Amino acid sequence: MERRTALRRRLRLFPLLAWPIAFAFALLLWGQTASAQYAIAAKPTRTHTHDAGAYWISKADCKSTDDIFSFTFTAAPADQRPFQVWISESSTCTAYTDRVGTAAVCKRLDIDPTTVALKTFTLKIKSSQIATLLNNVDADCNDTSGLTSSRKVNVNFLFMATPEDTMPAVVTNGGAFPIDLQVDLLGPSPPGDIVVTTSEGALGVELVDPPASTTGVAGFNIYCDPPPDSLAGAGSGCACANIGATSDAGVDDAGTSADATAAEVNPFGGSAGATGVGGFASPPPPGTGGCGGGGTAGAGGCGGGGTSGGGAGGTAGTGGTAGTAGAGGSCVDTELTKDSCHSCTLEAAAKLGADPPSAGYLCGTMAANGTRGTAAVLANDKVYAVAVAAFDAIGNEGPVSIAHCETPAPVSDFYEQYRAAGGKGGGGCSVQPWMRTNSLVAPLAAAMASLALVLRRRRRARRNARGGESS
Amino acid sequence: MSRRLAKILPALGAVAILAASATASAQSAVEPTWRRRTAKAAPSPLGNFTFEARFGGYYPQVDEELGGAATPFGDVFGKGPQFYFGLEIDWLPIVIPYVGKLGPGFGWGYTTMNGKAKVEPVAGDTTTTTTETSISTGLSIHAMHASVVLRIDEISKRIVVPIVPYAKLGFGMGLWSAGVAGGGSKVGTDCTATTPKDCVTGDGLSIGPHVGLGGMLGLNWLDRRSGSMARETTGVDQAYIFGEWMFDKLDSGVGKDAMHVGSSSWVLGIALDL
Repeated sequence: MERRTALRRRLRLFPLLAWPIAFAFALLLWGQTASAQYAIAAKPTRTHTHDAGAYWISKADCKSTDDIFSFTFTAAPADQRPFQVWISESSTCTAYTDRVGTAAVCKRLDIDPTTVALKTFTLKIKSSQIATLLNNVDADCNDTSGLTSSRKVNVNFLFMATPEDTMPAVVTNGGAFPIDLQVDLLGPSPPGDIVVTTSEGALGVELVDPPASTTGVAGFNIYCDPPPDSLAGAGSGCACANIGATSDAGVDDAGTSADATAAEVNPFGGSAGATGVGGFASPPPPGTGGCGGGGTAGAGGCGGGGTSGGGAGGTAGTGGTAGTAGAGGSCVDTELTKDSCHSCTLEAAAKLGADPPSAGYLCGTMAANGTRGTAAVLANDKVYAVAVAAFDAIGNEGPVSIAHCETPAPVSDFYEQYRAAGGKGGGGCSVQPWMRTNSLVAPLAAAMASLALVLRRRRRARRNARGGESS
Repeated sequence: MSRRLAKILPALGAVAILAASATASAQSAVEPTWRRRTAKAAPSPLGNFTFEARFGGYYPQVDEELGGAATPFGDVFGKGPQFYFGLEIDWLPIVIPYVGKLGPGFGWGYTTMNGKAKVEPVAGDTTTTTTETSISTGLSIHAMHASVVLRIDEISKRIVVPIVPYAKLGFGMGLWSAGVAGGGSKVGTDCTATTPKDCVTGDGLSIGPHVGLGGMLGLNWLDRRSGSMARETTGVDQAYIFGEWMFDKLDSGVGKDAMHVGSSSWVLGIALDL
């Protein structure tokens, strides 16, 4: 009787307990089902690679259009909710307040929604999409955050109905995802200063205050202005003559070109150059367009060449159309001297976050632990501005150092000076190659071996002599 | 009283320790094993060899050749001494009664120096000659000699402190080579040609007399036990420190002019009688 009563009580309690249990079970099942909708098949692939970090994004990666991360997803069955990609440096973006509102720390990355309609699909994301979503990174991949270390980024794959969805499903795959994705758009600091010394067809470069090894320096690039392969005049100045010459002037000799106003040389730049005046229609050859004066800024525009004279009679050509005013420049190269060393190229590259000079200006490299390098191959008796920039393991190059000017020159070594002073020694053929080396290892080893041999023979001789006496 | 003792006792203790060690050393020296007592020092069938390792300053007399008109050596390498290291072996088979030993000796020494090359002088420009470049230039000298060596060791047998004066006289030669970081130096108008006709290489041989005067101080008397042990175990009869004035007048060439690479300098070293 008592047993029946107890059973009835339990049966009465069952509906009260069953509903919460069923609800909890349903919730759990829903969550598991939801998270199982998408999975990353494997670690993502990438077109650019870095030994220092497979998923690190450098400035060059960011500026390129071909550095693409490919994430392959499997979905079974396909979830109906939209798939979204959220980027953050500090959050997994599952919290609603991290995605929406004034305290949001996540940014949504635009993806092609059609790609995620399939059950198995590959999502391609450019590194520039990731990097430029970060705070203080502009569309040109310049990082103005002031951070000296790399920025770790969480790429979060969520799917949810709306951004307000408070329970998005998170895509993970154990060791395959998340990945160590870091954005580093800034190069190391340059050496504090450099010393540039003359050499023959080259310049010696010594780092005075190199950055510490802990700052991630992987090496140094040495830049020269004018570029080492350019044996033309130093600096650019006003290149009007060249511009005029390449303009479409007639086949006959160019006529008198209009005088361009002489540019006032100012290394710190200024306003735009004046508009060029059309060339005279000087008979009989066609005129060449005049060049706009450089003003205090960049070179002025150049007038178009006059058309060639028609017919055999050599009618004078029409004066060329006046050139368009040159764009205002920020800097004008001046003649380089040791005391006045202004290179617009190097000064522009010395600014924080600026791009390094183009590869044509590269005239040498140095190892990370080196303090001496050589800028080559340069022309003798010509002034070069030289600066050094440090780069890190993923190729980010920092600003260049202060530029110093020096002139490669023919070098006179000791023997040349000795002969020039009247010394007559030399021309001998008696010095063996091993004697020319500075290594003392070979002669010392030979001497020590000889000594050891003598000692051994002497000891043996004494032992023998003593043995003979005692016996 | 106790303060006095505190001062005196350590001093007495130190003296006692020194005396004890000296006594022990003396006992072991005068009371060798029965076998050592019976065995006599066996003369080497090779005779007496002396091996020397020496070092000191070297002053190449390159600028003397130019008579003061120019000092290219001093301009590039400075006026100070260059480090010199040398080895020498003497064989002294001839015993001169009441004087010492006589025999031939051969020595080899080496010195190398480096400086910065200068900007080539431009006609009419007096400033460029002093402008240093980043290019390293150097001069290496192998100074050798074959000499007759006289060691006056009779004195050391008659006085407590074994001082051995000696003299060396012979023929010296210096093999030298000048160069830059990229290789040997050359001067001429067609040095880059396959078979140059006007090109002088920066190397050569300079010869001349060699003189050495010095004195050796035997070290075995400082610790006779160690000396006798060294004799038994290594075959080294006597160890010396020595100082020597070394003069190489290497200013002649074989059929041509030579760079003056000799030196007048003092060297110090260690010598071992084998």
